[in-house]
Amino acid sequence: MKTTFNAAARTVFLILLAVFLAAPLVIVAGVSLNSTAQMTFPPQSISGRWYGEFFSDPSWTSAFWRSVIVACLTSLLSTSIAFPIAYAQWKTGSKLSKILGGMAGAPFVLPPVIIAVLFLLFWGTVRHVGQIENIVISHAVTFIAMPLVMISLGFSSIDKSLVEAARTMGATNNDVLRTVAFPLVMPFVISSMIFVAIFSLNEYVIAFMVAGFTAETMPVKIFSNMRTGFSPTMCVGAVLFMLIGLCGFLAVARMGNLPKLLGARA
Amino acid sequence: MSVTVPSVSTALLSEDIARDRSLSWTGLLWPFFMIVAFFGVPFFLLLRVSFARRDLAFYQGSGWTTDAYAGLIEPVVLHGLTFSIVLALTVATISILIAFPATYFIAGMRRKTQIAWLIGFLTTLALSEVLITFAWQIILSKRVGISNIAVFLGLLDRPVSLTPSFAGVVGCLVYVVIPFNVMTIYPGLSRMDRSYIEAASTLGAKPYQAFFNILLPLMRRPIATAYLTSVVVTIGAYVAPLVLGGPANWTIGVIIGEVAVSAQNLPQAAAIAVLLMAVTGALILMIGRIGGKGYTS
Repeated sequence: MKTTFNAAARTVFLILLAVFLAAPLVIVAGVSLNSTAQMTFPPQSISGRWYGEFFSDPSWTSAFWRSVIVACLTSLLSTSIAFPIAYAQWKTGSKLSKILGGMAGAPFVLPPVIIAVLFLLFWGTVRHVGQIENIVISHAVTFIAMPLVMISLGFSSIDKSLVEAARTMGATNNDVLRTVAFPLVMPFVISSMIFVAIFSLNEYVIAFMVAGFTAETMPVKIFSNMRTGFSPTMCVGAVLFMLIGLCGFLAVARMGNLPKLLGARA
Repeated sequence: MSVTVPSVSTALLSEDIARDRSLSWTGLLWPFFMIVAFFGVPFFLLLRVSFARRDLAFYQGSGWTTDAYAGLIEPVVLHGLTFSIVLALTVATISILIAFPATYFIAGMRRKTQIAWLIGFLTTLALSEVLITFAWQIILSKRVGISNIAVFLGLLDRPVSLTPSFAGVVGCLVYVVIPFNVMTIYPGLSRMDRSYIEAASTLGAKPYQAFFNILLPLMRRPIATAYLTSVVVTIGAYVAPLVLGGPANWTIGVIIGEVAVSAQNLPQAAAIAVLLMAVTGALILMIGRIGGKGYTS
């Protein structure tokens, strides 16, 4: 009797949590499908009108594609910085690799607004403002910790005896990296690239401070729209971003072992 | 480590080690450059500028002065800081009370169900603060928000706007922070040997005893880390307090943004950022001490 009560309480709790988590997403999606310009929920009549409007408005599509480009370049750059550190930590465990790893973790434990001011100041001082590459470099440095942790996890899951075997057969360092380590670590690299891309796509404060309105990303554009007034078109942008995030994580879950990537044992 | 391999000649071995050394240097050149140039340099620049005089000719200011630090005792800054700390502790406490039991239940579920929940949490985790705030703005609005449900249930006479309000800011930030908590506690809970809890109940412990005497001490460290993450994320919150709160609900993050972007007073913004860094550092040390070494498997 008591256990059934407990089980029921647990189910209710989890359902409430799921509703809490899903509610904002459902409401935004609902409003985006409205046929009128007014904000109503549930939508009175379903239409894809605002989706058409979104894709025919160059100011929205350019912000959208700018965000996508920033996200892709950020994930490439961030991974290119993290991979050598993770490799060196696994291979030699040198002091330099440990120091670099520690420095790479620092931006992650500071409030984002501090990082934003840091980069605002930096780009302003070198007199290079409002450029798309500012966002890419700033994001890449801010997010290094993510690929670093994930790729290190990948290296640590390589069975040392495989490496020993390859070396006995006369493989050089490069051979080992190319033919043994790389294929085993690859899923972790790709997963971390997806993670970084999604986080970069959604990041607001840094993008706003280092590039502002001259190189507007989607979150910046949605934010400035939010301040000036409501339009259903911004809901479309929001929905697209949620879908990209969802698809990205679904891909990671399909490709690799999501629980393990997030730190579970299995 | 190649020493254990007998077939490798010593000449080859030393050559290998030498190559390892040089490789560890040249291989790390790129990360070294990127991290030093784009994190080390900006970091010291921030410290330097916080001691500079505001100068309209130079974006970063010039000269040396402690004016910006003297400006920290302005009521706006002090209020912003105390408000941020109160807000951060409130949000962190509420969200851990929800996230811990949720993660405990989820970590005990079937693998497929676990993955579904994890994808859900990751999706909300990655969602831009802007999108979440926007959605909450709709939820709290007069037109379509939850006050309409309250009217429907007969709790209210007519729909009202629930912003700006402290509760609105807290609710939104709890939403932002819960997925971070889940992701931090999940590894610990999923690796934990559940037989401890079973053993406790076989030996006659009541569920609450098992919880307080076994689960909580084992999970002390992940809980402390999750709490800390919430505090760090919330203390610098920018979008939610700006949109869902009034000036009374402005965090130190909003104030830094205003000072840096609207007032263009970079030395002052840098000094507030240094203060916030110091406060965050102190909180990290304090909560880290409470968390202790804990249990790691």
